[in-house]
Amino acid sequence: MTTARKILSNQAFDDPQALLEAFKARDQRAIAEVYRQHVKGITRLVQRVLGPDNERDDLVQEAFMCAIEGAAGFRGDASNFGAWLNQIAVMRVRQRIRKRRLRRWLSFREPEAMPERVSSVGQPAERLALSRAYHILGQLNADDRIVFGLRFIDRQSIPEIAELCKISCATVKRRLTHADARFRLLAGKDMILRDWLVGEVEL
Amino acid sequence: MNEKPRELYGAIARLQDEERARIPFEANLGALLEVVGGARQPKPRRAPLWLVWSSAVATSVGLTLGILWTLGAFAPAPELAPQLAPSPQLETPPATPDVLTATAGMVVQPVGPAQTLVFADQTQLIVASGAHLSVIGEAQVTLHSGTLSFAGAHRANNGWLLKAGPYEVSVLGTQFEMHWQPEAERLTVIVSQGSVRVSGPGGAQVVAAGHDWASGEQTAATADPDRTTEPTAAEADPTQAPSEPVASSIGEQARSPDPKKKPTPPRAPDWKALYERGDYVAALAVVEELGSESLLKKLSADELTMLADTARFAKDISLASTVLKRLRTRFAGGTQAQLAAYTLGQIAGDDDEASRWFETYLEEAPEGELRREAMGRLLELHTRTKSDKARALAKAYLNTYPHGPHAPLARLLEAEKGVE
Repeated sequence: MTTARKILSNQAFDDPQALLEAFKARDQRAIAEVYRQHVKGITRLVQRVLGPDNERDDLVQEAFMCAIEGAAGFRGDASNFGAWLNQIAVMRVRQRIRKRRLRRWLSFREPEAMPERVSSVGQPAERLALSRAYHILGQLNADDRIVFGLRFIDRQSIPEIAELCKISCATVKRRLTHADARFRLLAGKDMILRDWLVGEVEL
Repeated sequence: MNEKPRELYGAIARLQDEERARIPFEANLGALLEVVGGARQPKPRRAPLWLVWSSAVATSVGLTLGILWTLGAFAPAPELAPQLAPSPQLETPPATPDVLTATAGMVVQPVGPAQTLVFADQTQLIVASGAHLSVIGEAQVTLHSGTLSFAGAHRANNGWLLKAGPYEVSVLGTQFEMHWQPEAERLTVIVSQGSVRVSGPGGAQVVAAGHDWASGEQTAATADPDRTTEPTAAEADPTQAPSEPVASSIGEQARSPDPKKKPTPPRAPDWKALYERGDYVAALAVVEELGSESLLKKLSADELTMLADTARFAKDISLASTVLKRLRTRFAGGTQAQLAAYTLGQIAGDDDEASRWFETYLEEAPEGELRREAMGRLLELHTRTKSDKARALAKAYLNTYPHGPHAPLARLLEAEKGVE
C-alpha cells in the first residue's frame, strides 16, 4: 500500500501517448497511473453487470493484468486506450459469467447456493432489491446480462454498448429486448421486485 | 410512462456508486504492482496453430476441447480478437494462487504463494504461505498452524466445521479468516461477512461480520466503521485501558491477567445492528442463538416488526409468519398489528390466505397508508376468478385511485364486464 501511494504521488506523465508507451514497456509508474485513471470506470462496468460479487475486485485486477500482458500488441493510440481497457473488462466479465454457468450446469447447483456478496451500503429495502435483481440477472445468459447492465443500470447508449461489446446496434437492441422480457418475467414472480417493476422502460 | 423500473435501476446504480467509493483501490494497486513486478518466468511459446489443429484433428481430445471452447469455458471473446495482441499470454489468465480441488486426507502446506482449495460445495479456502492444514472431509478441515481465509456459500448452518487445537469454528455465514498459533494456543477469527460460531474451552459464541475474536487476548474489533459491538471500556476511555493483555474485552473473565487462562468469548452481536447492516442471515443466526420464543414474548411492536423483516429477508417465511401473528396478538388494534396483516398477505402461501390478510388489513385500516397497495394486491388475486367481487373491487379501486399502478388491470376487469 505504501509502495502504491508512493508511486501514485510520483507520477510524471503529462503526455498520454508517453504514458501509453511506458505502460507498454511495463513501467511501474505508468501502470500505477493508468490504474489510477481507469480503475473506477472499469470497476463500475464490472459492478453494473455482475452486481454484488465476491469476485469483483479479482476481475478488475484480472482486466488490468490482461491489459498489461497484451499492451505490446495494442495497435491504437492514447485516445482509444481507455475504450480498449473497457473492452477487456467486459470480455473478462463475459468469460467469468460463462464459466460460472458452465460450472453450475456441470455441478447441477442452484444459483442460491453460489457464493454471494452482500452490498453494505444503502437502505435495507434497496439492498434487498439490488440483491434480488442480480440474483435474477444471474439466470440470464452472459450476452443478455451484459447489455442489460450497461443499458439499464449504467445508462449507456446503444452505440456505446455496441462498441464496447463489438457488436452491431441491432444486436444490442435484440439482446436488450430479450433480456428485458426475461428479467421482467422472472422479477414479476419475485416477492420483493414485483412492486418495482410496474411500467415500461424505454430501450 | 411509469418510472418505477427506472427507479429500481437508479437505486441499484446509486448503491453501487456508494459501494465503489469504499473500495481500497490503493491497496489493490499495491497488489497488482507486486504481481507485475515479481519475478515471473517467461511463458513457453505456443506451438504453431497448424500443428495444434493437426494434433486436435488426429485425436479425439481436440473434439473435447472444442466442446468446452464452444461453452465458453476458456475462450476469450472473439469480438475482441482484432484489438487484442496476438500474444499467447492473453489467453492465459493472470497469475493467481494455485487452485486445487480438495479431497479428504489432503494435507496442504504452501511454501510459496497461497494455496486455494475448492470444495465440492464451491466453498473456497485460501491457505496462506507457511500454514499447515488437513482436509478431513467434504466440509471439515483442521488448521494445524497459520492462516486461512474461508469463502463459502451464503447459507446459514451450511455444515462447515473448521478445527484448530481445542477450538471449533462452525460456519453460519460466508467469509472469514482464521489464524492459529499452536505454540501460544491462540486462535484469531476475523469475520468479514455472515457469522461463525466459535467453541472451545471458554464456551461457544457467535461472532458476526465486522468483529474479530481472539482467544487468550483482547478481542479487537475491526476498523470497519459499521462495526456493531459497543466499544469496550478500554476503547471508550483510554485511561481505563488495562496495562496487560486480557482474555477478552467483554465479560468478567476478560480482566484475567493470565492470557492462557480460560478464554472468554465476546458478547453476542446485536441482531438489530446486523439487521440495520442488511446482514439478515447473520441476524437470524443470532436470533436463533438467543431463542426466538423468548424474544417473541418481550420485544416491542417495532422490534417484532423488525424481527419479522429479518426472518422474511433471510427467507425464513415460517418464522416471519409466526412473529407477525404474535405481534397481532400482543398488540392487537395497533398500527403495527395492521401492517402485520398486510405483510402476512404478502408472504401467504396461497391466494385464499393472502386475500384474507389483505381484506383484514383493509377492514382494520380503512385509511391505512398501504390501502392502495392492499386493494391492488386483492385485485390481482381476484382477477383469475372474474367474480362479481373482483369487479366490485375494480370499480372501487378506479373510483379511489384512477391513476394507481393497478388501474390498467382494474379497467381490464371493467371492460370484460362490459363485453359480457
